[in-house]
Amino acid sequence: MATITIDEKQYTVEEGRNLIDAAADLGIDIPHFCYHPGLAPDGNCRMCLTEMEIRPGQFGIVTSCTIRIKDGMNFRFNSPAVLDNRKGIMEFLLINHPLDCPWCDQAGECKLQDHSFDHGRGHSRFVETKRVPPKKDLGPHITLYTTRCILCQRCTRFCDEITGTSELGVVQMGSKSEIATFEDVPLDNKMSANVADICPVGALVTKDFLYKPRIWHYEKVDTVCPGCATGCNTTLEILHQKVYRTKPRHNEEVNGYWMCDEGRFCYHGWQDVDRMKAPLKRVDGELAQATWPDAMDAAVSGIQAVLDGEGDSAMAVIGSPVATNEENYLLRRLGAEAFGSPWTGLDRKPDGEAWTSKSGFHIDADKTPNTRGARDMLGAGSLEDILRGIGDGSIRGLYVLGGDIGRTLSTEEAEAFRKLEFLVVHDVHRSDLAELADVVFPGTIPFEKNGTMTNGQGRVQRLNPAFPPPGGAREDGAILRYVGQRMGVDLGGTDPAGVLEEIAGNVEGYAGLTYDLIGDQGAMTGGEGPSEAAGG
Amino acid sequence: MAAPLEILTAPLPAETDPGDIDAYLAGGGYGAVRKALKSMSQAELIEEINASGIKGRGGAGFSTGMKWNLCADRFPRYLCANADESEPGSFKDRLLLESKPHQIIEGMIITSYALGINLGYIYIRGEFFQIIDQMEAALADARKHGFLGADILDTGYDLELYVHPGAGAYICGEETGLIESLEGNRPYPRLKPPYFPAAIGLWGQPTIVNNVETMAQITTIVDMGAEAYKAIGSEEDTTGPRLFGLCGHVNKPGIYEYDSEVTLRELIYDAAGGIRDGNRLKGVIPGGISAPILTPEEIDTPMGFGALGKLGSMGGTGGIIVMDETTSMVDALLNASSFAAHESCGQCTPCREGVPWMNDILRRIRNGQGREEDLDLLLDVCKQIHGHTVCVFGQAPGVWPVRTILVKYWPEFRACIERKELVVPPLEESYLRPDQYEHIPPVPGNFRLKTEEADAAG
Repeated sequence: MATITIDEKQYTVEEGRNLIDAAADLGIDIPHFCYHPGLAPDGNCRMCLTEMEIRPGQFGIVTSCTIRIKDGMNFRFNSPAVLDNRKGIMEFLLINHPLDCPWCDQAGECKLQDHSFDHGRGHSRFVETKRVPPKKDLGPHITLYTTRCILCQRCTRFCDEITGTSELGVVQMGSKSEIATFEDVPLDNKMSANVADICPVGALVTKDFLYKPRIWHYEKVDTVCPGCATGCNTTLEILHQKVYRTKPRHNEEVNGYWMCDEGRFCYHGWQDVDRMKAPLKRVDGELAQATWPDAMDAAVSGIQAVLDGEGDSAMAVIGSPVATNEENYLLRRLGAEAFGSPWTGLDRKPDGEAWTSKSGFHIDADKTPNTRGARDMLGAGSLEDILRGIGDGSIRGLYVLGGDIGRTLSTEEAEAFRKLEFLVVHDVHRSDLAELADVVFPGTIPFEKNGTMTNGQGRVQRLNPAFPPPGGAREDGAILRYVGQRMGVDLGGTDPAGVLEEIAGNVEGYAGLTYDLIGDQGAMTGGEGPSEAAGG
Repeated sequence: MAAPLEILTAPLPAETDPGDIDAYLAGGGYGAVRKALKSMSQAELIEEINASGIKGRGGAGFSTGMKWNLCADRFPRYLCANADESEPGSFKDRLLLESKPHQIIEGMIITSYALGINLGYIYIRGEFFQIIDQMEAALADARKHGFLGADILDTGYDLELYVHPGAGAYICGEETGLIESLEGNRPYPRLKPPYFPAAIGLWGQPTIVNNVETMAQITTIVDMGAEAYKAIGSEEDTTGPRLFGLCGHVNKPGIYEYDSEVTLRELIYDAAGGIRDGNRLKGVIPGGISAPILTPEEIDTPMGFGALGKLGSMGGTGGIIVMDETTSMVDALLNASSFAAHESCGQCTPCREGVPWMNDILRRIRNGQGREEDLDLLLDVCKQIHGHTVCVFGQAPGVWPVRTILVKYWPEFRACIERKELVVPPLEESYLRPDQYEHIPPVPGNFRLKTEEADAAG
């Protein structure tokens, strides 16, 4: 720790910390544009200039973003020289800025607006002609409103330092400088949309979030990205029970400040799917809508028929890597206690592409968010074991947690499932699997789930529900509990925090985990697996 | 009257090609390299340069010996000879590059040897393409004669020098911009601290960036010895010969070599043959466009760094721009400002936005659309830029000319605004006398009007 002086008051802060971050920790805002904690300092915007004691009694102007805290440093954040400079920089940045806030998507979360309000002069002395460079289409996700750009170069540094792809650069000189791509190489990398997040103004915008409702209308919900086993921490922006935007949420141990484009835009897939809003049951060979009591009766009597038939453990359960730990845990209990079955399987989607950025940001090949947690909960065997069991007739009924919109069945899987006497499925739309089922319960997509998931590194993280499930769809945990109840097994209360407590007592590696401990940054399981940060 | 010197400008033997190494050797060339490498230790050489009192010839007048001493004790170290001469009004490096390539190479070899450098670059302004070819050939000849490469003169010392063509911008001559450019990047100047080249320079290693004229002078120092060199000029103003390039409204523009005690008046009226058509002097920029202008009352100053500094100006590159009474100072300043607006690299906000803004305002004034408040606005914009930029570009060619020309020629700008057209008032009415403005040290170019309000404001 180091003791520093700011405007004649003493503070204790972490030695070696960046001055802007250290001041932020103390609740002091040093206005800045080009500095971003996820990128190396560049010192080009000059907004963060403060005065530092260079020799005893003598203060000099320095860029805060390049100062690393050392014991005994003495700063002036509010001297006339500092305040005059801020006013000057604001004036310079605004002379060529279009001030088109009324139709700029950044309005409300724009640093230029905020700092202008706090530090600007309120009127312009500029009577010349503003420069008006044309708008540019930089790549599949990003548009550059060149007029709004303040050339802080966060975006070029992101492409240099984080992705290592360097698509963006500056062309021209001086006041004609513009952010640009090189000839026909577009800004098209796996993390390209992050440049819109870090752009302090409305210059870089995602085409996805263009001309959308104003940012202050959204409700923000912290959750975890369902796109892959990395489990990037995210914040969803919600309006009228719809996701409008996903933004990465800082977690140094997982995703740093970033997320990949696939994860960012995957909410479209989840919320554009044709959701099932009522249970289905098979009547005369066709799936038909049913009421909850009807469907529940059909499910319980079907399961009972299988259990009453020949063989010991004829029912098996298959967990889901897109369901929470709590849901998979309840499924295991249902299988063991209501079905008396030793069979647990875990669905596994074919692997996608893995990718690691220059800075170490990792996109996992496993495109489901909770394979690790589901396996921990179920102690599950492979899907192949279950298919074999169906093949040799030892498994005659199946209870499957589905819910993954991207999952299609292979011919072998479909053939095996057709042999079953009875199939119950939780799903969110009429998937391949649902079409084969005898009873389908409408469940939830990850954005509606309340619980925890365990990412590829073994970090248990919280999901918060962004909105309730639509129509007659219900939380998967509640459905499982209802089925258990009908079969004479009490699976406990509905509170996921309580289920987690139970998990902590029963599942190896999860001992001691609570919602409080997990917090908004997650907590590691005691299990194996890499513990180093995947973020960068 | 100071006597002209012929040390750096010693004429070449008739009909010799400046790049001809045989002619250079016949005239005693590479003697300094032999002397340094064969008979002097590295410490002795550094001491010799320190003792000579030479100040770097790039413009800032920083002590070369001190720069060498600041070089961090890490290896490898690199040398960059800065031949990206692009300051308006300066053309002395070009003369040396054209006429004395081997003397520059010699200086680079000696410098490299003294500092334990094995790799050096000479960064030559891209527009000097003939000079680049000639320098390449000269380096090849030096290599052929064993002055470069492995085991130079059987001393076991290795050195390679390469030419790097400039990337076509003024900022490439800023020392850290030059280093970025050498590394293949946009020549955005680096932040100082921490990127002082002597500590963290090219490829992150200690790097000495010296002007090419300084390199040629190193050869001279070793040739004549520090004692004799020191006898030229003065300790305070800089020792050794200086090259002054006179241009503008003089009868005989060109490069003149004097010691730094020569006065501006002597250079204009004696060396350069006075002002064209017998006109009177209106103003003179003493060291490249960045150097604050001097009015006719101020030209009896010696041309040393110290003496010019006392006047709030600077020695700069020694590129002297002379303007006679027919000159419109509004036009002259617009010209200087256009250069700065064009050459601002665009990295940091105050320079990128402020310098072109001042240019816009000046253009408006020149076109007869000046407003009453524009002059104060210009001075205020100067204040907002000054000291807030990444490198000195924003203030040297950006702010200083505006501040000084505006303050010293205030009546002429006022006339232009009041009459809503470009006017050149009679000489007597166009500028202020030295008691009407003041310089606020230590920064050059920091001038303000001496008015009752200014005095009251302190």
